[in-house]
Amino acid sequence: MAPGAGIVRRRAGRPLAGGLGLSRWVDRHISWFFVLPAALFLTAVVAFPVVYTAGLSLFQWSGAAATPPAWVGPRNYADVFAGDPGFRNALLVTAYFTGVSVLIEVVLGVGLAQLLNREFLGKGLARTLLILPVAGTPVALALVWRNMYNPSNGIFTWFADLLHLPPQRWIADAATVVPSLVLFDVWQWTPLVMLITLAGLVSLPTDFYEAAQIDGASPWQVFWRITLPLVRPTIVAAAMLRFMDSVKTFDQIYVTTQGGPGIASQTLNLFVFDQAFQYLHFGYASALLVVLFFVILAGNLILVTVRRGQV
Amino acid sequence: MPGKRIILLGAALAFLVCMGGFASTGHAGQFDWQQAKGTQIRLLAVRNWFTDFWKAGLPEFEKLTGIKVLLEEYPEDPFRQKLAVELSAKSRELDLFTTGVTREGKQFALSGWYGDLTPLLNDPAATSPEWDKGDFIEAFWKAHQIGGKQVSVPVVASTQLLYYRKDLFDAAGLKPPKTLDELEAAAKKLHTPPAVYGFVSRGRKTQAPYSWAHWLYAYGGSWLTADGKPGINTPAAVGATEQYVRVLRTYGDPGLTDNGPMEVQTQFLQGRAAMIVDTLAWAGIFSDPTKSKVAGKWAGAAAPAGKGGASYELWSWSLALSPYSEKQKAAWLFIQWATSKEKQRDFQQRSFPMPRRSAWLDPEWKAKVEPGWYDAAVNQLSKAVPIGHPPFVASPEITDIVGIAINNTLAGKDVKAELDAAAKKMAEVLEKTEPKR
Repeated sequence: MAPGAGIVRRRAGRPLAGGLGLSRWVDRHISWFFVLPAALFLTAVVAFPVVYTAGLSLFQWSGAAATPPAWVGPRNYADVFAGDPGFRNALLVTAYFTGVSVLIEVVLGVGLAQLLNREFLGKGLARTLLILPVAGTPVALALVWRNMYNPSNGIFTWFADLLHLPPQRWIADAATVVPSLVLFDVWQWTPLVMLITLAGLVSLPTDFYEAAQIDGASPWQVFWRITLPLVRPTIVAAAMLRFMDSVKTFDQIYVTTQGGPGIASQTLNLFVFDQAFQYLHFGYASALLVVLFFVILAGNLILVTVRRGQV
Repeated sequence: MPGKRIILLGAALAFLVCMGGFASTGHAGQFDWQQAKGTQIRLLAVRNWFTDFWKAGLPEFEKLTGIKVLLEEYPEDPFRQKLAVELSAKSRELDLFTTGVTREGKQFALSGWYGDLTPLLNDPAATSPEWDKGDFIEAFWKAHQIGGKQVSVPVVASTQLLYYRKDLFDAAGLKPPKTLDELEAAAKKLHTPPAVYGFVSRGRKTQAPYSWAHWLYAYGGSWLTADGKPGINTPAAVGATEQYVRVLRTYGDPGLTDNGPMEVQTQFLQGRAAMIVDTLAWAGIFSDPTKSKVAGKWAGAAAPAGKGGASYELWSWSLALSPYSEKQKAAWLFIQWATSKEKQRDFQQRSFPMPRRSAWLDPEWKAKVEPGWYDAAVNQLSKAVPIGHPPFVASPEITDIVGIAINNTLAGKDVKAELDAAAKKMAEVLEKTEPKR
């Protein structure tokens, strides 16, 4: 649309513009002016906060009006890497939570997509029911799960009782809190992986399958040799989405456990939140955010490599 | 609609006559509630029952003063986050806010985030003569002063007291415990899990220190020792923690490390807790048969004492002015309205405890509430001290440090080792954040 509109402008402007240099310059670069509003908007809402955060990470600031930010240079980063045990713990918890939940979600999601990629009665209904958790409000769902996990009144305890399992303390126990949160995350987000993979499956060309049928390939062979390689880019895209979301999961964990018991479920994002908005260490929190940014970037680079088929 | 208009006019006239009548009985002539007419003020508040009452009363306030109030409310944590952001940005859009002075007071005062109420209190043109500051329970009034300045006005009054199941105690021939040792003995007798747990308390990271502090002070401990060191690993503190952890691990519910106020309240409401020591504000809901399985079966008593006597915890939400507001007079009128005798009596009668003496003395209301709870509440409120939150600039951070330690001990880790480690961290934070004397 931009070039066409530019031509219209130029024709209409010719008699008036005459020898005016500015007008001609504008005419020549008109396409830039169409992009400008969007570029300014993006600068304001994306680039500025990023630059501001990076800048603030070199200061010590408690948010107080009375005391302006004090320049500390790279000290915040030195503190992060010199072995802040809270940071180390948060890194491990994040890796544990993200690694396990994304893995399970991708495996289950691809499996479910396979199941739903064939005709059967009630397919539409099954798909709708399966994506319900994705549509839910995270905080509301988290409150429900928090109640379900209550060791004395929760429904999970009741189920465990029914099956004569030993009593579990779910999110009240440091050993089971992350698996409990993973279960919640898997329940909520597997359908998303399924949806994306399903979209990939539906668009696959059919000739490979016909060829495989003629050659007498088993369904298992078809899945491993044809479906999976073809749909891999889609799966990696879904995994990438889940990975980014999972690393920065906040609401679910904050509402259910607040990072507890102790710091057993304190992920990087919760740790940063506490540093910034509970303890008012804005500079240190900014440094942590910059580190978190690079963690996500590194994770994505790995996934992109996988997608290109180098692994 | 001329008929309707005439009625309205009549109502307005009647209102004016009444107002005139009040003013003529006042001491210093007529107080001008309309002095900031046409202003709009913005209040940032924690979502709570009192914000519901305020919201319902806003048309009444607007009629009285001609001031429009934008009341924005959020759950506690998002509220604190938003407030910190706005105050640090020196937002002129914010006029007043709710604050827990015993928790964040020092930090806010040091940051210059409280407007000074003292000049307004002393200005007869700004403060209604009917709004009697001497009516506030002294302990609560003074708890909202920092460095000789009145930083806020309390809107609720809370202290932790003992709730116990009178039916179970009577059946077992027990008397309500006066000491923590008696509490432990009673918990042992009444602990019949999973039907009833002997003693239920807050154990969640951010919530545990609030409950634990009662034991700390009852053992003669304190947040800080006399020579300014962390008081959380002294022999008194270790003794207090050992008993607290022992009672909860032996006679508590399985969710003890995750219990926040809602869990404690629910366990008692469901009849699953024989005893709790928590805020006096829950008497109303415990007595409400539509919500409580224990209505008529419980009683209140003073929070049990320890080897070092008993200190009663003080907590309240309060209303403060933003120092960056340009409409402080209008905002101050709202504070006076929300904390007036009439409003506080009204709230009190709906079972929400208030910091005004007059609210507690209403005989008709008094006859309706549980007498053990009433006596304990009145006695404790007059002596209450702010011990439930660490009284430091870095209060939230130290709360977490101590909370994580208690949380770990409730999960079975060694008390002394955890408290020592926490004390070390606490000393580092204090060193960085407390103003040097």
